Amino acid sequence: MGLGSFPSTHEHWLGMLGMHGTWTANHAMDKADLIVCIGARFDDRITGKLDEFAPHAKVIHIDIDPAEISKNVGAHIPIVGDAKQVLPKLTREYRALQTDSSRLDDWWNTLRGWQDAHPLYYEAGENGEIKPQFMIEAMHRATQGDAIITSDVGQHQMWTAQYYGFDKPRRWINSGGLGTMGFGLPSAIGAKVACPDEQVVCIAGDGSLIMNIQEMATCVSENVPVKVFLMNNGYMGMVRQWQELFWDRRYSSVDMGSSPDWVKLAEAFGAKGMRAENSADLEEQMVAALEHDGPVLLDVRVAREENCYPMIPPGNAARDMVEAPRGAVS
Amino acid sequence: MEAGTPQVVKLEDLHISGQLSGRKHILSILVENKPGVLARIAGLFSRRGFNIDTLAVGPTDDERLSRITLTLDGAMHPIDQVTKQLHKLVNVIKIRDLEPADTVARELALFKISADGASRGEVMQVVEIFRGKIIDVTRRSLIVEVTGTWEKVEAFERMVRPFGLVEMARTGEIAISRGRGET
Amino acid sequence: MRAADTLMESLKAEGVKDVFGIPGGANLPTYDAMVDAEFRHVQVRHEQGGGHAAEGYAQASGRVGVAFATSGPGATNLVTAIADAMMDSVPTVFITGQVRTELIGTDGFQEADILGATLPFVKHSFAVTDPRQIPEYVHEAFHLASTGRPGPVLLDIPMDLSRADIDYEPRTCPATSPRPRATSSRSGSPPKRWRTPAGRSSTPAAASSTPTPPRSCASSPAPTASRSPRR
Repeated sequence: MGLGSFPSTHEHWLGMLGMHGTWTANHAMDKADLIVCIGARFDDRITGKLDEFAPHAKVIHIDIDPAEISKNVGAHIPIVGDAKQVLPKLTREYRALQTDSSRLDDWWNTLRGWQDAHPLYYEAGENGEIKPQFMIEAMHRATQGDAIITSDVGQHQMWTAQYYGFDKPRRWINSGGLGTMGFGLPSAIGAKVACPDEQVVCIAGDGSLIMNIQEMATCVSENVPVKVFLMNNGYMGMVRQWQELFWDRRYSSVDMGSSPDWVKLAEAFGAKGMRAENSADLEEQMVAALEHDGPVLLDVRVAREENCYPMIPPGNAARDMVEAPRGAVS
Repeated sequence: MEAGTPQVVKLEDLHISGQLSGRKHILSILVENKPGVLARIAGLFSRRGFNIDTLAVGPTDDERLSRITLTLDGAMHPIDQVTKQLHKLVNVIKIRDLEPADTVARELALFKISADGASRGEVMQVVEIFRGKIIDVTRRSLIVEVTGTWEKVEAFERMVRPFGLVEMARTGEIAISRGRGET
Repeated sequence: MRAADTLMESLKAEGVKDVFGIPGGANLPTYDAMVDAEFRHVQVRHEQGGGHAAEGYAQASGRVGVAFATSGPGATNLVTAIADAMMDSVPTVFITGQVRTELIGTDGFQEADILGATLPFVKHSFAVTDPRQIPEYVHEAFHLASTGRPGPVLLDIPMDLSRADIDYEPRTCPATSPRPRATSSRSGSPPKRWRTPAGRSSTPAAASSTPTPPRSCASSPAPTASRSPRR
C-alpha cells in the first residue's frame, strides 16, 4: 500500500517487503536489530510466520491508531500519533545527534551484496512472447513512471508492485488488505474523476477484470478516459500458481478459457479495443493507448504459466524465501 | 527537553512485557444510549475472537448513557487489545478496567431446586447460610434468590447441585469502584 | 426545505465535488435533489463499482469518496466496497436509501438491514430516525471518515424522512480540507470535458495550491427545526 511514499529511485530503497517482496528487503528485516515502523500494521503478508519474523529486532512503532501498536508485533517503543507530526520531530532530534553515517558501512556492504546476488529475475520471453514482468516494465516506460496505477488482485498486482518503480505517493491504488478482485476498473474511474489531468491506468488480470467489466459503460457514457492494460494469461493466475506449487498442480477451476473476446467487448461498450501479442510492439501500442482520446482496453497476451517470484511460502519465515528458478544462463 | 539532548537507551535494554494478565477482568463501559450500541460491542468481541464470560447492561443516572459491565478472562485474551479496540467504537465513552482491590462487584442468581418434604429442610439451611431468599415454593421445588460475588454464587451452586438443581439463571456481575470518585 | 435538499447542502458544505452511485426506489428524493446539486454525480453500472470508485477517488486525492445506493440489494452491493475501505483505511462516506420508517423490520420490498450487516466493516454508521439529524450526521460522518485513522462511514436514510420538510441553516466550513497531490504536467490529449454544472472548471482546484487549514466550526449555528416533519 505504501509504495511511492519513499521514492524507488532513491539509493536507500531496498524494495517491497513481504510474501512477494525482494530478497534484500526481506533479509534485511530478518537480520535487523531495529525496525522503525511508520504507519504500517505488520500484516501477515509482510511478516510471514509471526514468531519467526525479525527475530533480532527491537521495534519502534509509530501509528495513529493505538490499537495497531502491539496487535501483531510487540512494540518496544510505541509512539501514537500522526506520522506527519511525529516524523519532523524525530528528524530534528536525530539530526541534533550528528551521528556518523559511516558506522553503517558494513551493513550497507552486506545489503549491496544481497542486491547484486539476488535481484528480481525472470526468464526473457522468446520469439516475441510477452512475459508478464516485461509487460510491467514496458508500462513503466510508456507512462514514464508517472501515471496513477490502479490494479486488481493477483499475480499482475504483485508484478506491478515489483517492477513498476513508484516515486510519489498516491500513485499506486490498490485493494491491499481485503484483496478484492474487480477493484481495478472502478477505482480507476474514481481516480480519474479526482485527477482528470493525470494519466490513469488500470492494470488488470483477466480473472479480475470480468468481475466489474460493466463499468466500461460508465467510462464511455460519463467520459472518463481510463486506460485498462489487461494482463491476459487465460487463468486466475495467482490461484493457479498456488495450485501448482502447493497442490500438486491439480488445477481446479482456474482456467478462464478464451472468453470473452476482450477487444470486441470493449468495442461493444463503445470504448477502443486493442490487442498486443508481440513484445516488440508492446510499448508502442501502450503509448498509442495512452494517447488515444477516450477509454481504451489493451488486451495483452502474456505467457500463460509464469510464476511470481520471489515468494515466501505461506506460513514460512523470510529466510525461507524461494527465488525464481534460473535457466542455463544466469 | 531540548532537541539534541541525548538520553541514551541501549537496544539490549528494551523489553516487552507479556500481554496476558492471567486473571479475570471486569470492564465497566459507559456507552451512549443509542440503538445498536450493544450489537456493536458484541460484534467486536465476536469478530476479534474475544470471549465474553458475562455481560450486564442497564441505564445510568444520565439518560443519554448506559453502563455495560462485562467480564472476560485475561489469561485467554490480551486485555490491552480488548480495551484499545473498544475505544475505537464511536459510541463508547469511557472504559474502566476495574482493579479487584478497588471494586465492589455483585451478581444476582435464581436457582430452581427440587426439594420435597424430606430434603426441603436441608436446602433451607444451605440457603440461610448463604443469606439467600426463598422466593417461590411448590410441593416439590423451591426457587432461591442469591446475591453476592461471582465466587459466592458459584459456591452456592456447588452446594445445592446434589439436591437436584433443575435450572438456574444468572445476571453476570455488575461492579462499581470503591471510594467517592466515579467509576 | 426538503431533508433531501439539506443533504445536498450539507455535502456541499463538506466540500464535496464528485459522487458516485445508482438511484432506486428508496432514494428517489435524494436523486431528485441531486438534479440541482452543484457537485458531479457519476452514474455507475453496479453499486460495487460506485463503492470502489469512491475508494479510488479518495486514495488518489486524499478527499473523502462518496457513494450512493438505494435500499435492499443496492445497499448490500456496497458491502464489499465498505469492507475494502475499512481494511485499507480509506476515507469514504456511503449513503444508502432505506424503506419508509413504518416498513422497517417488516421484510418490506427492497428492505435490508444494511446497518446491521455492515457493523463489522464500518468505522461508524448512522441510521436517520428524524430528518433534522441529516445535516449533523453528514458533518459527523465526514469528520469521522477523514480524521484519525480514516475509514468508511455509513449513513442510512429512510425514504419518507428524506422527503420531509425541515428548517436548515448551512454550516460555513467543511470538516476536511483538500490535501495536496503530487502532480506532474502531462503531454498528450487534453482531458475530455464532461457536462459540468455552471461555474465549475474541469481542473482540480487543489492542483497547486497549499491546503487550507481546517477552521473551527464551533461558531456555526446548529440547525434548528421549528416544525415537526410533514409526512
